[in-house]
Parts: sequence; C-alpha cells; structure tokens
Amino acid sequence: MNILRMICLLVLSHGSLTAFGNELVVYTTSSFASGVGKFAKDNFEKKYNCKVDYQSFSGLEQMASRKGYKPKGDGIVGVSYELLVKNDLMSLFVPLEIEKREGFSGWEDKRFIPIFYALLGFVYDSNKISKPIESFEDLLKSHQKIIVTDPRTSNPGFGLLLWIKRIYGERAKDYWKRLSPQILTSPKSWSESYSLFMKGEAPIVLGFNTSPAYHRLVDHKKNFKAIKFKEGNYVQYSVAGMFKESKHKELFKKFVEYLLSEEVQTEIAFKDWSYPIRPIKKSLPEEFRPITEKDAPLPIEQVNKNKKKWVKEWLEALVS
Amino acid sequence: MRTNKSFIFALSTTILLDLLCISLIVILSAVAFQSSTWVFSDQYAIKVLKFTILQAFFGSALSIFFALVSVFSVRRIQNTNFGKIFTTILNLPFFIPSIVGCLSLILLLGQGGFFAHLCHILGLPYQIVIYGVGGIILCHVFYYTPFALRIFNKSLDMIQPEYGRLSQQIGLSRFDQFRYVEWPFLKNDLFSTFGIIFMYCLRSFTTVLILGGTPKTTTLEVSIFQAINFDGDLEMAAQLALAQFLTTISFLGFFRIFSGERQKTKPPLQKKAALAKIKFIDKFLILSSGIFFLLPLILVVMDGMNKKILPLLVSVEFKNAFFFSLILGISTAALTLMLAFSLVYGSLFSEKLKKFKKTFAFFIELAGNTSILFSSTVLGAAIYFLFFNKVRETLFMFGIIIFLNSIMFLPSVVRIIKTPVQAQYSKYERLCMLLNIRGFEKWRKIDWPVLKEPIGYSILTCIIFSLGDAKTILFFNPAFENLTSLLYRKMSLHEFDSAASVGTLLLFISFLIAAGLKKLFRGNGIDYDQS
Repeated sequence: MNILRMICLLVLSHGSLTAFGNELVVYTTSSFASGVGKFAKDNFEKKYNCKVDYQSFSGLEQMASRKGYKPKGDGIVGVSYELLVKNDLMSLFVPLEIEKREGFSGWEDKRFIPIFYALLGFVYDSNKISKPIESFEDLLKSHQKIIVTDPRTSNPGFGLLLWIKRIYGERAKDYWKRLSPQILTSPKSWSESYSLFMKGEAPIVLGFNTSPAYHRLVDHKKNFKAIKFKEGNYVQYSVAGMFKESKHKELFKKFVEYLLSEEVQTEIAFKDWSYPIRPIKKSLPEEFRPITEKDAPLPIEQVNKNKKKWVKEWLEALVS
Repeated sequence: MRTNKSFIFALSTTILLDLLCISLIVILSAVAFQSSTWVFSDQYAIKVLKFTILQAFFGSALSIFFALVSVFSVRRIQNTNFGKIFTTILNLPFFIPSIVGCLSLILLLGQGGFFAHLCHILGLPYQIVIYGVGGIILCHVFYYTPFALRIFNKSLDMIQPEYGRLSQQIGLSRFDQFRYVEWPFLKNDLFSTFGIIFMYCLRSFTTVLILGGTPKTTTLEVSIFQAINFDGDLEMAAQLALAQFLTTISFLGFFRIFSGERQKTKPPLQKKAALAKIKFIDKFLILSSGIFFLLPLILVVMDGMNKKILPLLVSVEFKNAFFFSLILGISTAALTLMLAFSLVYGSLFSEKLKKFKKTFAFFIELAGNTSILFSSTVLGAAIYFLFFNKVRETLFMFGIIIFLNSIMFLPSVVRIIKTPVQAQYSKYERLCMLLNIRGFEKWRKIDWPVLKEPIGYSILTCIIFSLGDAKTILFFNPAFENLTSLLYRKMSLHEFDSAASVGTLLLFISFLIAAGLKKLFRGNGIDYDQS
C-alpha cells in the first residue's frame, strides 16, 4: 500500500506543481527544509492559501557557475551567507526591502536578509580536556587532536578559514602550519566530523556554540562544552534572498517577513539549534546564552575577492 | 537474430548511450580548452593526480591479493550453513554507503573504537592511527576484497570437476594444481577485476575526506567537486574531469592488454557440493577475515541498536525513505535490465555481421561503459546542467535520476547477464527455430529458468545501491529522501543515535533483500555470473 501511496504522491506532485499558480519555489538546504523550514512552510501555506515548494540548494549552486543562467523560482532561504560568496550567484538576486529590520541593524548587504545566525566554535569533551582553552594560541599549546571540516566542501570549514584570517591576517598561513599536526582529519561536512567526535575519535571538533545546549537539553549530557574564545566567536548568518526573475515577488516578501515573525523566530532555537536574528518575547533557556561576544564576519566583498587565494594558502600550509 | 524489433531496440540503445558518451567527451574538451590556464601547471594538481593513482593502485592490488589468498578457504566452507550466511554478509560492504563503511571501520580501529577499548582494558597503549593514506587503502580493501572474492569464486566455478580429479590422479602438488589448473581461469578475471576496483578507488570521495587526514590526500574527484561547487570554475572542472577520463582509459587499455581473450569454456552442468575437508588454514583465514570484514558491520549494528531504533522504525519519515528507495531501486533495475539486455542481444547480433563487426562491437562496449569512463560527479553535473529547468517537474526528475542510476549500474549488470545470455543463445537458438518456439513461450520455457538467477542478482545490485546512493539524490527535491539522505539529515539535526539506527536498519534491509532475492530467483544451480 505504501508503495502505491508513494507512486500516487509522485504523480500528484507532478500534476500539482504544474497546475498551481500561487506557488513559491524556494531553494534551501535539507536541514532547513525539515527543521524550522517545515514549520514555516506548513503555517504559511495555511495562512496565505498558497504552496511553498522547497528545492535543493546544491543544484542551484552548481548551476550558478553557468554563464547567463536564469533560475526558475523565487528565491533562497536558510542558506549560509558564505555559500553565496560567488559573483555568478550573487548577481541572481535583487535587494529585498523588508520594513521590520529590528535586531540586525548592523547588517549592510541589501541583497540578503539574515534569518538566523550561529556562532562558529570548537566543541570539546570536558572529560578529556581539563585545562581551559581560551584562545587560538591556547589551542596550539594544548597539543590536542582536533577534527575540522574541509573548507572546500563545508560551510563551517570555510568559516574557520575566514575566522583565522580575521584574527591572524597575513600570519594566517603560519597559524595553519602550526595547527597542522593537531588536525586528525578533515571530513566533507559538519555531520561527518561531528559524528567522528561523538564516537570519541578526537577531544575537540569544529562546530557551533549551540551544540552543547542540544547535548544538555536533549541528551542530558553535560560533558560537551564550547571553548570560550577571548577573540570572540565568528558569526555565520543564514539568509534569505529574492531572485531578479521571481514571478511572485510580493508573496516571497511575505514569506520572508513571516520567517522573521515572532512565531517562527521562537522556533529557531529548538528546531535548528541556532540563534533567532531578532529579540523574541519568550526567553531561551540558560544553555543558549552566548558564552562569548560575536566576532563580526569579514566584509563579503573582501571574502569574494580573496577566497581562492586564501584556500590556496590553506592548502599550501597543510600540504607542505 | 530473433526479430528486427530487438535489433532496432539494441541499435537505438547503443546510439543513445554512445551519443551521451561522445558528447560528454566533446563538451568536456570544448570547455576545458576555453581556459587559458592549464590546471596541471600547478604543482598541487600534479600531486593530487599522483596520489589519486597511487592510492587506487595499492587499494586494488591489496584487495585482489587478500581475495586470492582467501578464495580457496571460502570455497571450502561455502556450502555449509555458516558459509552461506558468511558469504551473503561478506557482500554487504560493497553496497553500503561510504559514510557507514567508514564509520564501521572507525568503530573497529579508531581512537574510541573496539580495539582501543580492548587495549585500554588490558592496560596496553593503543598506537594505531587510521587517518591518512593507510586508512584510505584499508577502507578500500574493506569494500572491494569481498567483491573480488566473489568474482574469483565464480571463475573457479567454471573449472570442470574432472580437472580436479585428474590432477589428483596424476599426483600434482597443490601448488602445481593452482599453477596449471586454477591460475589460467583466475588470470583473465584477475586483471579485469583489478581494473574495475581501480576505477572505483580512483573516484573515492567521502572515504578520502573522512579517513584522509590532511588535504595531502586529496583525489581528483574531490578537486572536481571543489572546482564545480566551491570555485564555480567549470573550465577547471572540465580539465580535471578530462584528466580523470584519460587516466581511466589508459589504465583500462593497459589492463586489457594483460587480460587477453577470455577462456572459452563450457560451464559445468552441476555445481558440485564441496566435499573438501575444512582445514586449519581455512579456520584461521575465515576467523581473521571475520574480524576484519564482519566485526565492523556487527559494531555498526550494535551502535544502532539504541533506544531510538524502534521509534525510528515506525516513523513516517523512515517508511517514506524506505519505500522511496525501493521504488527508485525497482525502477532502476527495470530500466537497467532493459538496456543491458538490448546491449547484450546487440553484441550477439554484431557477431553475425560480415562488415564492421569490430566497430559495432566497440560501440556496444562503449555504450555499456559510460559510467566507467566518467565519475558520477561528472555525469550528475552534466545531466543536471542539461535539465535544470525541468528540476521542479518531479516525475521528470525522477526519470532522470533513474536514467542516471541505470547508467551507473549498467557495466555491472551487463557483466552479470552477458555470459548466460550468450550461452543460452548458442545452445538453444537453432533448436527453438526448428521447433518454432518463440516469443513469450520461449522466454518462459527456455530462457527464464536459467536467466532468473542473474536477473535476480542484477535487481539486488540496483535495489541495494539505491538504498545507499548519496550522490544523485542530492539534486532532488528535499521532500524525497532515500535511506542515506535520511541518515545525513538525522546527523545534521544532531540526532546521531537515530542516524546510527538508520545505518543499522540499512544493513539489515540490505541483508534481508539479498537473502530474499537469492531465494526467490534461485536458478537450477548453474551460475554463469562472471561479473
């Protein structure tokens, strides 16, 4: 029966997609689509009597490198800002004018609207590390093995590259060289590297500051903690952006406004283990309180210009 | 040949797949030479190329070596009950998604793994570090030794039982028996199997990144991915893909020279039940391969047997992922079999041609091997670029993914069905014509009883691969997920216990499907599979 149902679903979704006029096509990641994105989609569809169709962002990323490409659909949501740092990709978007901009006054890029953010950090197992680590230099002195994701295939990995660049500037390559012996391995994605960490392969892993909150609130484990960096923690924003070619600009704007509403923002902490972009009425549990200050990201133009050079630098530091 | 219809079908399949293959080469070359810079002017790219080839070489050489060492022991135990389960499980590492495979090895040999715990209990220091070149090669041995073992086992099945008796009568030593009787049968498959495993190792991606350690151990596949997804540099991606294609084709040519013509032998009519005594060396080899091949899988199962497994099993998302994988697998199997049969019948036809015999045979072979020449990253990206604007038409995309997967599995399925179809044809075609048995009746009475076992194995390959496929599904609407994408999604939501349970269930389901299909499609004891 299930197979029949699945076939019907395939056929029906085929029909409905071509028949529905009032429909948004939004590119996103699978974790957003099944987390807070699902909540937002279900409620938005009821509220505005429309349909929201999530499509895979990975495909869009590949397509954008093709010259003269015009995307079909309306925009992107819940995609990390760093992933958009590509000239071809950024030229697809048109500025999104949203009135209620409270909470992200420092944000300057008009093409995108931040929806939520995460603080990049290192999570460690306090059963294995007793001496506190408070800075990137301490991390070196600890001589502990760490797992960091590959910046060429993963977002946090690329974030760390920028973070170290921000702190060390010209000396970043030298820092990577010194850190190199401590890197156990660099998997493709956060999921894989965190999985290795959970299996006890290394005592420290590159991840997000909110992971310990998950372990405390859901797993009831207290030994996982985030390193308090005196340099501050690098912020990674997840944003929304509208395509120039969108045929439902008003509806898409409403969808983004809905993502910024109290209703959705309150859900972000528990569904995506990230921070809401604007102040919310309901106070979040103690575990969510950021342990350090936000360290503002590098200007996107600078990142865009130097990205290839910096990755090459990272490669040279680790390969030599 | 049977009818004109089947010839037209064979011809159109060949043309379609050849067009795909040739246009890929043309497009890649056109894009690659658009750029003024040449990727291999960079030292790092040359290092990557060297490393890719070296790790693939050692990975495949070791897999072949271990398979050769253990194949005789496996043959002696395979007809016992334990042996049957052992060989079915032994096939699984080849099918499971790379992430589960890597994690299973880490559970065995990692810093927090089984042996580390054992050493800790015994008070010994644990020194093994599996991250680095060693880890990558070890993981390839874990995946591909069982695969090679299976092929060698089938090659040895082709030896007539009389040979064994004769060599005993004339008093050949065990080594001489191997040298004069078994080696000629193994030799041909040795190089072709080496070639296939080499190709698989050449494309490793997830394994290399997880177990590789630092980026010193990058393969061409990772660089292609980086060029497309990170740099957005299609010219560089095309150059790398072209380099990968040239490496593949030159090594294939090299192996072809070595393997020479396949021995034409009649398969034995009855598979002899092994009467051989199980020796001490067998027990030793089975035990050690059990530790290396089965223990990691057992550890994966134990890891997933947590309190999340039952809620997961009854959850809607699991059911959806399972049935979606199943539909994907069955549809892929149907299409792959259709393409494979038409190519195989096409090659039978080509043998009758008077002119252009070799050219036609070459094009048929090319059609069947597109996915051997291009990695799934390249094929996937190319097909996705072509059809991106259709991506929202779910049914259309579903078709595209099935087509892509079919091309992936086509080389294996053609290998599985080719020998039995050819044998059937040479044996019965004349007789059927004389007796006027044709169409469905011929299929039901003559072909099906013999072909059902290889068909069953082809279906199995397609279904289990579809459960564990992580690449093509990536481009699909996130609402549709197979078991592997469910596993990744669970991990991305911090639910590592649930992810482990998905891995366990994936293994169980693969095992059940393998055992079930084996029973369902059990043939008359003749197994022509030559993989």
